[in-house]
Amino acid sequence: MLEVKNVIVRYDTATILDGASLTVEKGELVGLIGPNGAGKTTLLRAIAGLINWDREILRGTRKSDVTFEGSIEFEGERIDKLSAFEIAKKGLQLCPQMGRPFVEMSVKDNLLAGAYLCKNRKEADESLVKVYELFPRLKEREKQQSGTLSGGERQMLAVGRSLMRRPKFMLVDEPSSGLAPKIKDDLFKRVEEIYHELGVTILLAEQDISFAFSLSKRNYVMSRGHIIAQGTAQELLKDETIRKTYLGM
Amino acid sequence: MAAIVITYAVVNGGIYALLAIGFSLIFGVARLVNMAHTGFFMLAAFGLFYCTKKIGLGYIEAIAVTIVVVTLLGILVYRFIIDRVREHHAAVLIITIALVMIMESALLWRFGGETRGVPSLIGGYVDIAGVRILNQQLLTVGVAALAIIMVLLLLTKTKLGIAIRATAQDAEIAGLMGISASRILLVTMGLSVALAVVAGILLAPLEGVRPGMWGAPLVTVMVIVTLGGLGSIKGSIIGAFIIALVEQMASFLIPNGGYLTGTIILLAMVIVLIVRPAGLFGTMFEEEKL
Repeated sequence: MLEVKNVIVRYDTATILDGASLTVEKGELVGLIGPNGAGKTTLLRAIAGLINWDREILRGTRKSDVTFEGSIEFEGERIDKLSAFEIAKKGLQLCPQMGRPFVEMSVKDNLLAGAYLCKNRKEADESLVKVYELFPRLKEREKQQSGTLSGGERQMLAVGRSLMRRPKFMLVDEPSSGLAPKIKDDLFKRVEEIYHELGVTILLAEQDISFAFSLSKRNYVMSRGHIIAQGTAQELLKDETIRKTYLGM
Repeated sequence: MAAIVITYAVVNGGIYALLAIGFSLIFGVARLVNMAHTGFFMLAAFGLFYCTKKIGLGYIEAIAVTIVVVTLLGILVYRFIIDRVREHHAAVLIITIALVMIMESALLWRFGGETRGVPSLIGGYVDIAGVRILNQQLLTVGVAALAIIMVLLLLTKTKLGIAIRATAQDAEIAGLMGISASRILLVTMGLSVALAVVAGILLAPLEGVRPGMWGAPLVTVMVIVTLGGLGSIKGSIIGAFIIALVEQMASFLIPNGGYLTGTIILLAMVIVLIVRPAGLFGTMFEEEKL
């Protein structure tokens, strides 16, 4: 369903991705793990079209440039030259790190912004009901400005917002970062529900290895802009170098 | 006297609010300081003058032609000039200043420098509490209020409005939701210019048209949006009426105060900014924006 081949991303002279490749099949939940600065977020951003966006907003503002090479295919179609909004239209949805809600909009308006691609009002309303079922807390805070939400609520809002238009494929960027263990567990259950009940294919970037391993069947390990290993949790844990160097356990 | 001050403050406040909302809107969405904003207001006033006095169109036709032509011009200017340098803020400032000066010289060349009158859409006046209020002034207030309410409804209740607000706050994340920033910016520019056009059409019959008529309103609008908080629609509306009231009070209370209104509103702005750097309704979450 998703095929990333030899993606290189460079900001000025700093190489963030140095030939990263991975594939995700329809119906899989794949983990993307690795330490801080490995390039997980940049890889997800590249897939979602945000490197092209960076290029667009840097256009004309300074001499230095963003390099973006390699190929990304979604459902057999090249998407690496497309803008983020065009990629979103194809059913691929990035749920960004730290939630990134529209802070001055209410929780409900955030969700309605996520419903931009819904065909009509009815479809948006149905999605809203479903998201509120999944996260009752969001319903309670419906009218609250999202900038006043806690970290966990923001993350719920981001996941909910991504689900509004019923994506086929979700890229989830470190949903657990900065959350208390109890909230993490809850969010973890929700991600599992989304995967099993809504049938969304998921690529999940995580620093929290136990979080990623308990959800995913297959994982990619990233380090310094490369994919250095892949396998099931058991396989990765067996390899001592990987365990010690990159998984920190 | 108080009644006169309030009457004029409300009429001018309505026109200022229309101008300030448009200015604030395109700034909020695109971080674009459009110095040519009141230029479109001036073109609209001249458009009405030209259509009614020179071509001899009926009032309604003249208004329709002016709204369509000037708004379209604004969209074209955005699409083919401003958008090219959109992310280079200094270039946007310089280019839009150049644009408004080009508009002024073109009008000077074509129509000369004197003030020309434009007939009122409706004549007559009513007497309210001993003040003679022109029907044209009442119409101005009514239309301005209607336009403001429509913009607020558009922004809060419609899908387009939510997309505009989302893009204003975080264009990158809005893109992830399938919202095309370029398209939203184009639509917002159209909306912004259309509001300036309505303001120009309302003002022309009250004060006439003159090629230099963009200057003073531009300063006033900048004072209003800084006072209200840049990008805040609510701030623009309230700021517009505060500034209109301050201006009227200054010209009535100070002998020869007409010359001082600019100074006084600028002073008011400086004081507000010292006390509240973000303006009256400035955003609380600015640091989280990209």
